[in-house]
Amino acid sequence: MVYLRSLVRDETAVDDLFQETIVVAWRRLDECDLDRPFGPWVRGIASRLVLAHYRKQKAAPLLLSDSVLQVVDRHFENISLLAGDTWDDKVAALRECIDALPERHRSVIGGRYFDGLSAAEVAERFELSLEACKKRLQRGRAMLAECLKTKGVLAASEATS
Amino acid sequence: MNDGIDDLLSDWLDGENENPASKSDVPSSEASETIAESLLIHGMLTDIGSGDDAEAERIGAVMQRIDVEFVNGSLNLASTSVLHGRRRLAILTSALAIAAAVIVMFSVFGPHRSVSAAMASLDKLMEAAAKPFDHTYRVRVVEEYSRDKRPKNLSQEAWDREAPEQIDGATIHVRGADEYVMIVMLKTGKTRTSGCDGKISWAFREDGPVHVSEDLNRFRGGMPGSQQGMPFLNIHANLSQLKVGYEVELTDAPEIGTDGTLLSQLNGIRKSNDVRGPKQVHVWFDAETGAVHKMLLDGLPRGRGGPKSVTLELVDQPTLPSNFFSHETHHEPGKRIRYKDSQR
Repeated sequence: MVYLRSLVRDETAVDDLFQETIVVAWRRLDECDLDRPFGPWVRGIASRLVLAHYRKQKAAPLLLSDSVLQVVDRHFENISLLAGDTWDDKVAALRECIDALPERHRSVIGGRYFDGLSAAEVAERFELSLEACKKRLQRGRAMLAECLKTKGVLAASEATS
Repeated sequence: MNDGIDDLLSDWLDGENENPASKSDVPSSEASETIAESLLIHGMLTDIGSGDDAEAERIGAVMQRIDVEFVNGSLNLASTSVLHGRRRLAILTSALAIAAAVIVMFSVFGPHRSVSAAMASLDKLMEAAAKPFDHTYRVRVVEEYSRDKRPKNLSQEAWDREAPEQIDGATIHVRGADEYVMIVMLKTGKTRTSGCDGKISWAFREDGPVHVSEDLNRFRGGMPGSQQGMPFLNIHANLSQLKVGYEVELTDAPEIGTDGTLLSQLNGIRKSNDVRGPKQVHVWFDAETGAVHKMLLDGLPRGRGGPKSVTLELVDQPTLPSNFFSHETHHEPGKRIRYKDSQR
């Protein structure tokens, strides 16, 4: 789900793609090599379905290039390769990072993701312009990425590793 | 962080329009790391923010779809009604039984699984090939044989023979198992068109008469792999050879075609030199429909002066006119006809 939510914004579409991914995986289980990790195989199916979804809408986000998909996949690979950790551990690490954010970033992230508000509604709640709110959200996400790198949850970028 | 990418990400993840980027916004490879990290964080945050109830509903819906397929033998993608207690128990039991069966299957048949899956895929290809849908393929020469030195096992006559066709760039239209049209450029600069409408086969050069035969394979000689009996244009007639003469295996990593189709890959390696045909055959096909999207024939016999390896790539799935595979459609009226069969 996290993988799909990383690539698709519309939650209804995420639900549909999740179902589709599991069903396709189930239907094609006999093609899966169990000697290899299961995650990349399922993500491969999911990423293709995501691209098909955007193609059907005739609106593939240009930011979603092959190279971006590869890096997203590498991050997931890294997450699944870390021994002894569960997904809950990653979530706990992210929560710690959120707690460590400066208040002005933590509040907009909380409103956007935990209170289910749109960016415009978050802007209104904190009396910000929409542009300022969006910049603050983006900066907050970037800070969380940096924080998760220091905790070893996210892999350092290839250029620096 | 790059401000431009920052703004695009912000528009994408937080804006009203889900896809605001324009053509000039295609990210550089350097920006990919930044974008990917932001997307991942967005995904994790959204996931944390979603409730457990939604997860339960989602899993229930998936279970129901699997159950529908299990019961009906095919998926009903639109059906997502609420599940009731006994029904849910039945679904759960089914799912657990499937999981157990899969585990047993893998533990017992593990090493042979990809082979059996490959055979199942061959059957699917045969089924797809029998359907009267139109496909257009483009032939590309991947590698030519070196002309520096004649191999010991090749006669001087075969070595001196040169293929008259320029197979690279040839176009092949296929309908079902028996109908095809192939247009190839000759080294003289003229074209040669050959085909079969399921009742007769035919061929003609741009500047020559139309040769017609009731032998449906009479003019297949110019097609890549045809002289070796390889399954491409006549999958039904030749798949058995791929099954018998080749070690076939299905790869586990689906690819995506240029048109976004999810493609499976079947690899065949010739069992011995006694088997006529390319050393290796790789087939990429639509995992859902079985339609062949790409085929690589590698290590073609060199006796006919042709290339070492070629690919055939699907370029279109048009709806061609019903008379498209008749020769009359491809030349001017009144062109001289020569029947190759004695009864004519």
